[in-house]
Amino acid sequence: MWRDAALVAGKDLRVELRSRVTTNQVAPYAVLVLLLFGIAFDQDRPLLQQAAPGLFWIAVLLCCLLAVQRSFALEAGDGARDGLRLSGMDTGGIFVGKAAAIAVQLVGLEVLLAFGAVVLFGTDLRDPALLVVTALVATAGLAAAGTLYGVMAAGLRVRETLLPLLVMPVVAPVLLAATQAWRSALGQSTDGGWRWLGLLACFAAIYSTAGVLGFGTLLEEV
Amino acid sequence: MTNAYVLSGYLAAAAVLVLYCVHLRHRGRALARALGHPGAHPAPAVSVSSAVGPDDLGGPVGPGAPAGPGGASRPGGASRPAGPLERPQ
Amino acid sequence: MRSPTASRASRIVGLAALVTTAAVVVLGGWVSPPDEVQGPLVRLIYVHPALATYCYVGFGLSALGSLAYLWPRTRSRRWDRLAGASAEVGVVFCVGTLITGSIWGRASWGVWWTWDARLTLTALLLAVFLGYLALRRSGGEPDSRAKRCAVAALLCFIVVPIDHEATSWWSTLHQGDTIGKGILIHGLQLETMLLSFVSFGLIFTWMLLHRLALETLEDRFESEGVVAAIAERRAEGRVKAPVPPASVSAPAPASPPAGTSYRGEVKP
Repeated sequence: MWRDAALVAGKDLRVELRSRVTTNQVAPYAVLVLLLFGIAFDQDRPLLQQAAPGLFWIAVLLCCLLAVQRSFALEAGDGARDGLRLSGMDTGGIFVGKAAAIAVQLVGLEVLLAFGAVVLFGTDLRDPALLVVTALVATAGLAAAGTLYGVMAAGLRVRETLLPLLVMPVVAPVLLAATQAWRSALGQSTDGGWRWLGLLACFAAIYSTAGVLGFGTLLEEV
Repeated sequence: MTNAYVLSGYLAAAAVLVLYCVHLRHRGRALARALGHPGAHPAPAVSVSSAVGPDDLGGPVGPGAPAGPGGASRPGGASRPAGPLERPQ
Repeated sequence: MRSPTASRASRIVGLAALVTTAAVVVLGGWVSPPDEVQGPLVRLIYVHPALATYCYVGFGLSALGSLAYLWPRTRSRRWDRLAGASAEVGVVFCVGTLITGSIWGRASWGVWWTWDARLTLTALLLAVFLGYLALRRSGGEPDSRAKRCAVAALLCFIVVPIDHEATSWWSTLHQGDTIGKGILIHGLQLETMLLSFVSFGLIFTWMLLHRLALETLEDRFESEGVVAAIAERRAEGRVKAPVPPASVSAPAPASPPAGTSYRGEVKP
């Protein structure tokens, strides 16, 4: 399974490297979202600073949707999805591979967004350990849930509108926990940030397991 | 029930349930009508391209028709709200 | 016109539901005493918890149906229909829960909404199952749609136990269970509350029976209705003058009516 996962992840990332969709389209979109938040809050600096963790994670969520759509759009044409099905690879491995590729892209976007938040919102990045660990675990959960729902919606004509509706409520706990953890890391709340990591880890574990188990069934039905 | 909040609470609950019942009845009747007389509805206004003869494929109409089950090409689709009956691709 | 989804069972259940609900309204609205703490607002306890409970029941049945569908030995369209129908009724009850809860909250806390764990999770539960209902309407082949929805229902159901335990796991503004580890009300209030569970249970069952019948009708429409439409189209085609087939440019059916692949029964 892990070998298949590596193969699929490698394929997805190589496609991304060559087509540069994430770097040329999703990354500017991410920065744009941050800019729009700034405009929406009337450049109110203290408010932006306070809201920065939440705004950051909402931006990540929006980018996650795009990354998932893109990941499944890669196989939409030329019978590529049939090729994937018939390749005989372990479906759990395909799931892990696709989720890993999405996660890698998301981490890249998060670095960019963090940089943007520092510049645009004046966020002060203290306690980087908690920030980074939270981001990694949250990303794993987002990628797993996104991939699972992505394959559910992949074959449908209404996938562009259905996927956000399916994914957003489901990843709301990630938004909550990650925001709280970051707020505590940035000194905005005295709540123990590491507690929220437990919730994030749980979420990631549940959706990774569900994904490995259920991806095969869902892939057949696309 | 002297309290306005209690009254509105009871009414709200009733309204939600009753509205759903009405919705169910409406859909049930629409489906029953559609199933009861599958061929009895007038042919829809969509003009079948005259290039389509008794085709060997035995398939659906060709170029002119809108793709698949859009509301208008269904029996009775024009005469009732298309929403519950439309089968998207 | 006789309701097309009615049955003898639904009529009996419906009558019982009507009687018991009337009793609850009378008892709850007038006869039972007001609370020492909450005053007349306690009368909402005869409506709101029952709605919430049957919302969970609905989603639980949906998850059970989905499990039964996914399990190869018990796979049958009947379970998929149950999953879809009970999810929809559950959503209706969830909306009722949120609305009555909001009214109660406005009355006792002064706000229509607050972001405590129980309320937030219930709103999330609604959102998640609305997504599930959207997924049910967007598929193609009924069997693949059923499988896809079954997996989705199981994932969505995860929220239910978390929501139920929210008042004990987190400190919430929302009060804890009235009938849970202990029983916090007594006498006529308790009896009326129990009766409300019975009456809303009957309402739930009645709605579920109708919704299931509707689901069966929809399945029939999907298979028969499309076949009938194809027959009509072909009948139209035969009326026109035939033309050399070379000019036929029927595009490769990128979107054949989904029905052609249903149960393989395209009648020539």
